[in-house]
Amino acid sequence: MTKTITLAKALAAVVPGSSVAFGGGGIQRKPMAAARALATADVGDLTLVAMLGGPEVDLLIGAGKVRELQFAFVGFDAFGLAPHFRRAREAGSISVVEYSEATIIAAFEAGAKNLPFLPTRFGLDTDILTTPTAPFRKIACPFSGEELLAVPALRPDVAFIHANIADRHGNAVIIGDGYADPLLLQAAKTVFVTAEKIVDELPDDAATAGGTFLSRLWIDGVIEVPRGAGMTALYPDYRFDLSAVLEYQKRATDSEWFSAWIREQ
Amino acid sequence: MTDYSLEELLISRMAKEFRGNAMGVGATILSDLSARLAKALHVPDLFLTTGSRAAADCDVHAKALVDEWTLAASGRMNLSWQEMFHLIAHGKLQIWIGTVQLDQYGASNISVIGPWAKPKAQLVGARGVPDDLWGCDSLCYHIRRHNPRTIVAKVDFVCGRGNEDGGGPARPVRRAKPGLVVTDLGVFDFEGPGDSMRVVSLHPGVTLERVQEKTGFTVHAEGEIPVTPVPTAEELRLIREVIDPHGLRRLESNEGGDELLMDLWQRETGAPVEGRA
Repeated sequence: MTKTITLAKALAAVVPGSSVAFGGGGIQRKPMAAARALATADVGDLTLVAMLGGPEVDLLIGAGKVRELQFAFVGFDAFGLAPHFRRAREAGSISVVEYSEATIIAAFEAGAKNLPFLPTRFGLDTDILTTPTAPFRKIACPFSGEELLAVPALRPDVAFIHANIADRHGNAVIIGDGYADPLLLQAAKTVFVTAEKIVDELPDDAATAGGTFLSRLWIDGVIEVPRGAGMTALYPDYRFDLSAVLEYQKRATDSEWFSAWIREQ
Repeated sequence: MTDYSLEELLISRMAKEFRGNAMGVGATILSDLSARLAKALHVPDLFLTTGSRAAADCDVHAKALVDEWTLAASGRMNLSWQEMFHLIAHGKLQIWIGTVQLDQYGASNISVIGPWAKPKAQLVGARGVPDDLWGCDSLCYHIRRHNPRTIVAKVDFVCGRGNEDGGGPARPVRRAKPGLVVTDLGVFDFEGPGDSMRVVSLHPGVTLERVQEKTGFTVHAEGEIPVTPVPTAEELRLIREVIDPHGLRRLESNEGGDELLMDLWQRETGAPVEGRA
């Protein structure tokens, strides 16, 4: 059975009101081709989920597709803040649910384990518990009485992850930093992997063996998209495109520039 | 040795805080360089992970804009984020955090300026700070520009908790305390009255009056205040020749900007950048 599909087929799984999650982190290994295609699709009112959001989150906010964002971070790493995210928050035009890294990881892990929640200490005594949209509850450990934080499971409707290589059966490998993707993969209800290359069988080499393996049992479709991480970096295939990143930051909130940029696939 | 930059002094000072057999992370360029300097100089078993989890526990390499490409050569482990937080939960992280606001009791904020519901300025979000709070012994902070907007009486949003509640109720696992703070003016800790901020040392040429003028509350100072130790000749050699030969440390100086960034990018990739001088 082959799981090779087209990007258009994958995008059809996203309907108005869906929660859509993205793998990668900041300006590393972001599924930019998928996000840009989603930005021009006729579907909105989305809830985006990203532990470490980058330009994929920013461009979908800019395209007016986002009702709510669940996140621990959105930015361009050492290269500054995300312009549309910033503008939307300062205008109060999107709803956000602020996690920390370890609490959103706990939410994915609960989803992966098919549990309603998982307890953590991470996040206690901080203001992520005090926001009006905070999903957490303080609980007492049933054994010791210790105060813990219950983090409810996150089960995004659709997740997009970009990988270096996939096979036609639907297995994929990430060679660089895996971020939260191995847990997101298991938490999401439907998972699509875009990959630089789709092969019959994954290579038997050191880079593949040392990478993060994503099993076909979690994956609903693989899509071959060369340069699928767009201007973000994909180790070891390409570095991020620094000129493009800086240009986006400077010009993204110029609506004429932005609508032309989104359509330039 | 008197010929050193402020950035070199900060790297040297931050490097002194790392201990062995644990992860050493610097979330700013200067503190990342300080972890590398510590490993090169006096903590050979420091576990470096800042550049990439996929090249964790790597050797000391020259800092790059895209570290994953250089660190992969010696990374011993592909560390998953799940395991990284297990290591943090077991107290195996030492970190210098770059914060936007820090207050008199050591609470930190990288999320929003102004009210959370509709911020005056949206920053990046709480990221891992609320998590590091439950694994580290102490949270150390590197603040590039010491002024009344960064060193404030009270933060707008608590990402890392401070000492104002005396550390909170007794628990099986102790919350991290605010540790050292390094700014462009001096070094500070939270051993002042009521566990508030106190001056540890001032950088050469900086007066207490200047620090007070640049701080959003009265900083505690006692006795003769020492001068921050200046980098040694060996530290300067390691910084300039081994850990930062391209000079990425200048990105966190007053020289920083797109032109410097582009110059560093061209040196690193060997390719001219299209459409830019």
